[in-house]
Amino acid sequence: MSAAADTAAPPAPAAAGRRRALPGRDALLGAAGAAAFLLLWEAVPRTTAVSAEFLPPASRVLATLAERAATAAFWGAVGDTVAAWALGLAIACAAAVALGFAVGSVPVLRAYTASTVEFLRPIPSVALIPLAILVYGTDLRSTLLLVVYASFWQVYIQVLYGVADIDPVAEQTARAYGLGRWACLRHLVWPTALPYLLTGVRLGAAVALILTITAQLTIGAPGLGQQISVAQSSGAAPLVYALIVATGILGVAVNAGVRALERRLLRWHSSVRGEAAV
Amino acid sequence: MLDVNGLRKTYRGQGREVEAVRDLTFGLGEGELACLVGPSGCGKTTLLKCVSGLMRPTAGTVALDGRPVDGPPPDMAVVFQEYGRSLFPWLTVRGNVELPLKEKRLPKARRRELVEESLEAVGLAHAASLHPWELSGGMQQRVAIARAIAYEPRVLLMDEPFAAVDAQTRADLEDLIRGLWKRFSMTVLFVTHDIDEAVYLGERVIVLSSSPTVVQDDVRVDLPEERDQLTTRSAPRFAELRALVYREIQNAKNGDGGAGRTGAAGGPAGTDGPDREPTATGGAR
Repeated sequence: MSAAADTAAPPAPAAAGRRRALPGRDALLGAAGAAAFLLLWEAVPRTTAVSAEFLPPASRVLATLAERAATAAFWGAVGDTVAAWALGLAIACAAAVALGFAVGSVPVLRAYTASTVEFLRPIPSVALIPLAILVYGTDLRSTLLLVVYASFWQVYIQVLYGVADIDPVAEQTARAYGLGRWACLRHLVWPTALPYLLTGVRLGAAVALILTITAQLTIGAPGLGQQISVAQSSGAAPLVYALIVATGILGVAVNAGVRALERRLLRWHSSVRGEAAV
Repeated sequence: MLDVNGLRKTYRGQGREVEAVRDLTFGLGEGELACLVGPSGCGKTTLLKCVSGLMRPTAGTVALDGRPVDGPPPDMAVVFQEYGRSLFPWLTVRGNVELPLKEKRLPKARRRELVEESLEAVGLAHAASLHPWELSGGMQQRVAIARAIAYEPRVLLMDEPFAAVDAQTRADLEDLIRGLWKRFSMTVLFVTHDIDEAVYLGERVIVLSSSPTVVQDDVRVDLPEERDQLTTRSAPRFAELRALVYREIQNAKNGDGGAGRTGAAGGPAGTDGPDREPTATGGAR
């Protein structure tokens, strides 16, 4: 009897266990894939297909990266890059939230500005590089101009969608229970728009990093991008690769950070709460 | 205490005018529990939105204690059919119940007292720190009811609150509403499309005609005060009242005005009975 009960043990937890085991297996597969990629990278430069001068083997690039990571100059560059990225993203988010909530909650204003937004949004931020240099020179402000412009639209558009997504029943509930304008904004509009906002922040964070590196490469503002450009002009191929890998790691860290933030702030949201009863 | 007078609502859209509610007049006394029932699409929800001050009527007035309602009054609470959308998923059960009280600027101790009392009254004292989406549908609607009660309303409006829950839960919730009505002595206006539910719950059933809506009949439910799912529902008088309301709704669908035709008991006959065209031919061609 008890044995039967054990083997037939509640199917639900078993299924849940399997489902929970999946991420572990995925992580294992992911690690195996990365190892295979590194092996391939290690092997290819040792064949005649590609010269090791232009594509140094993975071991050499990683060794160079480890070497650089021991220097203060490297961490100074990482700090400059992260600072410019964070400052730019913060300015863009603050502006996008303020404008998005203001414009999003006034349909007339939204319609009035829609065409202008649709024109400004697709302008590639890199097209503004000459303008940035013209106005701010190689100052931090020129990097910020590019970063803010690129990431602002990502966040702004999401906030607009979020503010427009208020459930009519929830809105009627708020009004029926006497919630004023401010309380509605705080307890209804903000939580409704939050998932959208965080999606915008995730997209914006990635774009902001791209533009930070771009600005440092082309304008020569201090940071990882500038270091890459210096390494390139001195013909140090392994160092160029090492620094590129460093920017990649930074990108992964940024994405993971925003995702963790999303999981924390949106525990109640259906996309995060997962298999909880609906 | 709640007076609806000559209420009329027409929706305007795409060059077409739809008359949802034509001319509704009725009143609720202090502490009354009245059910509004009518054929589907007869404008019950429109009526409730006008009564609750969420929507402006095209003509006519709603008054609470003689004061005209031109926005949601502070002593009126609403329970919506879509509990899943009416509760805020980002707040806990306690947070949902407490939010309107914070807006009322009640002191913290009083808020806690009201939240605890109302959650206890709907049998959810143990679920205060859970989120609504961790509860079953019936329990979620109980949370919405607790929120309404904690608001200390004099009038409680309910818009088909049990249309989306299963039959057993529904029976429990019906008994809960009768219990709460007695315990908190509120005036309750309960909108439903379910005739049995209307007769079982109400002290009075207001039957609406099909759209454009007028009051078809006003039936006093003379069942004993103490009601019980088994005995009340099998009582001969319950069956009679049920049949009476059912007939009125059938008449309403066929565009027959008023109780006069059936010769049965009831209040005022439909306002414009004999000369009104059957709705079936009204809209054609």
